[in-house]
Parts: sequence; structure tokens; C-alpha cells
Amino acid sequence: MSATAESTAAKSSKTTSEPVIETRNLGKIYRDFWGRKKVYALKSLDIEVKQGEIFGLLGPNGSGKSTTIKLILGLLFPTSGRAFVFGKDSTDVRKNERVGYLPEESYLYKFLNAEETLDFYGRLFEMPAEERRARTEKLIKMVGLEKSRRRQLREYSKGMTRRIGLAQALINEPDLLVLDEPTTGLDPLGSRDMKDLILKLRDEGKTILLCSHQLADVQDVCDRVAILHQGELKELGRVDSLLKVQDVTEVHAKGLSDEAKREIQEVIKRHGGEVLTVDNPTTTMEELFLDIVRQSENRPGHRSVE
Amino acid sequence: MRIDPDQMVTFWEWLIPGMGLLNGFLLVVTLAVLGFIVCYVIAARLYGPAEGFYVIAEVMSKFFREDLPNTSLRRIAALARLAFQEALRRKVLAIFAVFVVGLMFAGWYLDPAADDPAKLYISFVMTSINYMMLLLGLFLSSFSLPADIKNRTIYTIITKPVRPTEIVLGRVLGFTLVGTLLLGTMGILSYVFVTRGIVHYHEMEPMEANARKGASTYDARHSHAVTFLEDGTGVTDEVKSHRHTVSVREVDGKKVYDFGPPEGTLQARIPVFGVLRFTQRDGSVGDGINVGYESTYRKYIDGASLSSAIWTFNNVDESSFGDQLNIEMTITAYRTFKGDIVTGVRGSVILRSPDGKIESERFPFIVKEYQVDRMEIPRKVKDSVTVNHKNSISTKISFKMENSKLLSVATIAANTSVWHQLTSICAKVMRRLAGTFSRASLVFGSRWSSSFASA
Repeated sequence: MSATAESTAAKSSKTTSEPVIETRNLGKIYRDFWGRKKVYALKSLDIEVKQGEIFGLLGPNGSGKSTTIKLILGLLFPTSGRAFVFGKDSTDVRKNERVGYLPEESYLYKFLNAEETLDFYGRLFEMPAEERRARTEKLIKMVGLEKSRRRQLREYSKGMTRRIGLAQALINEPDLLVLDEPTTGLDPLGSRDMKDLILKLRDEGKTILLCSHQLADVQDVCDRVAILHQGELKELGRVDSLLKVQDVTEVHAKGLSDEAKREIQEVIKRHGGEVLTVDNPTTTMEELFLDIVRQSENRPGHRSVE
Repeated sequence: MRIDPDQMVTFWEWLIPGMGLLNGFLLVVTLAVLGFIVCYVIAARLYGPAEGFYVIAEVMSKFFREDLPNTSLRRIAALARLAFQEALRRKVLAIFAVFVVGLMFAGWYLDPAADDPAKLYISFVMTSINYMMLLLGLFLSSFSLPADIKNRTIYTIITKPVRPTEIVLGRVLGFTLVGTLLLGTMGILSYVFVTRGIVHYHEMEPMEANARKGASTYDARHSHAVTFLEDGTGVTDEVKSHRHTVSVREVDGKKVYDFGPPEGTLQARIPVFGVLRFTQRDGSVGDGINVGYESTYRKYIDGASLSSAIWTFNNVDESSFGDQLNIEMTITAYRTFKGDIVTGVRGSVILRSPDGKIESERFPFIVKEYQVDRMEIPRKVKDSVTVNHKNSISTKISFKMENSKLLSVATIAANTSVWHQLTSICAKVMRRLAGTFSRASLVFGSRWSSSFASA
């Protein structure tokens, strides 16, 4: 199942250069203190992530998403199989030069402020001082933390922490960005910003691996997804082809009279089709929320009442 | 009044000929071997004996092939900087505050009536700095990295091109820097505290117009006798290990006496280690009496007998010591009789040349238990044979306990200058090293007029 899905994905993928991430028979068993086997967190995973795509790992809690990400980043040693990043073994430190990582919660030093944080991570990449300053400036602007750049991270709200976490991941202009639950803790506005940013980074040619259980987010941004359950790969393929319902046709039209609608239904019946629903489309809560927030930003004090 | 540089062990002398470097190296090797064994045991458990060895060899070869050559000083510096910031923004200032508060209130409890206040002050600051730094080092280093692992902040570090060696070295360097800075600051504060604590001035008690001798007022729990020299300036006697110089001015036809600050309170000491042996009741060579402390220098000698404790020291000569041999002894008495325990136990010190042919007269003293017995032996001493030979029982007797059954003498003898002909001191005493050292030593030192103790 997964093999065929992968081959169709490979056919339909526009970016067919060498894989950025490749896992071969990757498996992880967590052991207890005495070395006894406790949990099979991941069972022989084979995936390839190609350059320039957004790859999503989906799955319920405890399905092995985070384990996969940690194995790929070299934070864990695999029990079986291997993972390669840019053709190097995942435990090779040198691969990190081209990788950016946003952890699940932002594990940053709370006693540093935004500028110091970015400066510190810049130093770890041995960037010269001017470059560090320029990158810091750019990234703080990009994630919208200009006002709180000199506040210690301990005072940050969760959303701000996510932003600085993302800025930290981008300090080295990575070719591969690994995002662990990028939208948790963000309000819909921040979530939308994050998604836009992910798409923008993809357009710049970066490869992105993200894991999430916010299905809407995955649907919005991912080119391909792998669905994990209990440490096993259940499904792998392009999002658009996976979600397409083949035998249902959707028509959106505007300004139709009731008579016209009836006529269309008759046409469908005449052709042997079956009308499932005829309805006015509802907007999503997200769109409604964003709409209201934008209006209120444009016209402060105005209350939007229908 | 000067210190002989030859007697001081410099850092470089300590480092190479003094085995400092060698000891450090041995320590590292021992730890490495121990670490290897522990790791091998764990690996053997997980992978089996042969495979386990292979795994360890792989890790080690990777360390030498990849980690070490690619270790970057700039990353180490960045991590050290982080460790420094972490320490400053978290816990360190608290320890510093504790120290300052301690200093603020210490003055109330440090007894200015003590024998040698400077010593008391110095030992107070030294001890408190010691423990502060110990605590600091312990807490900083043992909590920092584990906390990073626990909070998973380490994830964002090791997903950057950082090597494990750099993480460890960075911490070590950062915390060393913090410790050094704090030590420096505490040192300066302590210096101020000690010098301010012991500075005091006296005034002149009323005296006759042209008298050569006078007395100072009673300040800081003591007073001095003042002697005026030909040139009109005065010098006090030594009380509580210091003197003052007195200058005289005339204001409106009246003489005004200005006392200088105390001189000679802060003195450097260099330990000089001697060899201790005993003679028994009948004067024959033997062992001291053990009353429960098994170390040699904690043994006792019999009172009212020929027992003696004999210390032999090398390198006691006039080049390193000036006009007099200053001896400090800490002696305890162990009484085996009931009755009068108020009268002090008496003893005497005799100095002897290395060949044993020349002995000095006796210098008697009364044992001040739990305090330092101080003796100043002048440069010229009388020969015991010429002075005493009729009633001396034996020329070997050098130190005599008169009115006790048993006496023990512990010692930090001496602050000294010595005879050219006398290079060994022989004391009929059992010595116990007082205070913090648990090692028999004779401490020689010369005065530095007002500089900070360096030994």
C-alpha cells in the first residue's frame, strides 16, 4: 500500500531531484533503565522527502511523529535502520549546518532576550558579527517581535515564544526546516501567518518537514503527507490526490435564481447523476475570525454586527 | 622583616618540579580509565562483551577523528558566554549577597580582644570564601547541564552544528570565568574588610614633658608602651602582633602625638615541615604517649621526667629570618591528677645545633591551652652548658615539664629568624597542630609591614 502510494507520489511530484531526507527501515525501541524493551515507537519506516516540498507527518498522539523527527535530527539513535539528511547520516553533526529546527515547545533559554537568543544561535554557526546583527534584525522583523526584542523570554506569551522559536530555526538560512507542531499555541491569526510563512519559505526553495495533528493545517500547506499510527506508516501520498473524492462533482455558482437551480437539478437527473446537496456554502470559523480581526484593525472601535 | 623569595614556592615551581602538572595528568588518566571501564560495563550489558568493546572503540575513534579536529573555539566561546550569562542571571548574585551580609554582621562576632585579630579576620574571610565558592561550583556545575537536558533546551543546541566536547568545555570555561570574577570581587571586599577591621589608632596618655617613655590610651582592647628615640619619633612595643610609630608635632607650643596605623599585623607565613621524635621518661629515645590521638604529633610527653619531644628542622638560617626566631606553639595538656587545674602547666624550649653539640639556655613558658603560645627568641642566646651545667642533668634535655604528670604540646612553632649555628630546634614537647592543619608543621614567617598575607 505504502509502496504504491509512494510511487504515485513520485510520479506526480514536480520536484524529482535527490532526496533531502531518506529513511531506510528506520526503527526505534525505547528501553527502560535495565535495557528491557518497553515501547516500539517506530517500526521500519521508509520515506523520502524531496527538495522543495512541504512534507507532513500526521498521526494521533504517540504515533511516532516526534520520534521520527528526533531520529532524523540525530537527537535519538535509531535501534534499526538509518536516516540520511542531505546524504549524510543523521547523527553526523555537520548536516546541522543546513538544518533549522523548531521544537514542539520552544526549548529556549528563558533568561535571554530575543536579540541575545538569535545572537547566541548565530554564534553557534560561527557567523561573523555583522552577519549576525543583520540576520537578527531581519528575523525579528519577520516574526513580528520588534516591540519585545529586549524582553527576557520568560515574559513571553506562548505565541511569542513560538515566533522566536521559528526565528531561531531560520538563523542559518537552512535548506531544510524541521517544524514540530508549528501552529500549536498560536491564535488563528498567528497560525495563518505561520502557514503563509511556510509556503513562502517553500517558494524560496527550502524543504520543509512538519508534523502536526491539526489536520486543517496539514491540508492547507503540505504537498505530501505520511500518516503514522502506532509507529507504522499507514498512508503516504500527495495531499490533493489523497483528498480528492473521485466521483463527486462540485459546482460553485453565484447569482442563480431558484428556477435556475431547479433546472440544473433536472439536467443532472437527466444525465443519470444524483444530487447530493444543494446549499449555500458556509464559510469556516477561521475565515470569519480573520475577517473580523482585519476589519477591526482597519476600523478600530467599530463593532461588526451582521 | 622580609620574606626570602627562595622559601616561597612559585606557581611554576609547583607546576613542574613540584609535581602539580604530573598530579593533574595522573588524575585525568585515572578518570579516563575509570570512565572507560564504566562505559564498557554498560556497553557489554547492552551489546555483549565483544560487540560492546567494538561500540566503545567506535565512539572513541570518532571522538579523535571527528570531534576533536572539528572543535571550534568560537563555538566554545559562545557556549561559555551563555553559561556566564546563565550564572549571572540566575543564582550567583544570591551567593554574593549572602557573603556581603555575612561580612556586615561578622564584625559583631569577631572578638577584637583576641590574641591576633588579623589572623582571626583573615581566617574568617578565607573560610567563608572557601565555602561560598565550593557551594557555587557545586550548584552551578551540577545543575546547569542536567537542567538543560531536562528542559530540553539542549535540543536547540545539538541540532546546531555543535559537538559534545564544545558543550562541556563551554560550560567549564564559563563557570570558571564566573568563579574567578566572584573570587576576585570577594577577595577585594575581604581585603577591605580585614584592613578596615584591624586599623585603629591610639592617643598618648598624659606624660611628663621630656620623658623618654610613655603609654598609649586603651583602644581596641589594648594599650602600648611607647619609647621615644633620639630623633624625636616614638615606637610602641608589640601588643597583639603589631606596633605603631608615633610622630610628634608642636601645635601652639604643645606637643601633639600622632599614632600611625598598626604595623606588622598582616604577615605572610611559609610552612616549614620538621621531623618529630621523642625521648621517654628515662631520657632514652622512644615513642610519645598516646592518649587517643594516634598521629605522632598528637602524642603526649610525661611531665616531671626526662621526656621530651624533639623537632628537627632544615633550612632554618639567618638568611631567611631577621633579628629573632618567633615561635608559635599550640599545646594541650592532659592531666591525670585531680585537684589544681588552674595553675598552668609549665614547659621550656631549648634550641640545639644539628650536630647536637651546642644547646641554648631554657626558654620557659606556661601552656596556654587552646591558645597560641608565642615566643620570641633573640638572635644571641646563652649556651646551656656554660649557664647551667652544674644543675643540668643532661645536656640533651631541652624542654622540661615541671608541675604536671603529662603534658602535650602541639605546635605551630615559630615565626622566625634564627641563629646561624642553630639549625634545628629541639623542644621537649609533644606537639599537636592546632587549628585547621592536621599536619605537624613549624610555621616560619617574616613580617611584611602591611601587605596582605600571601602564603
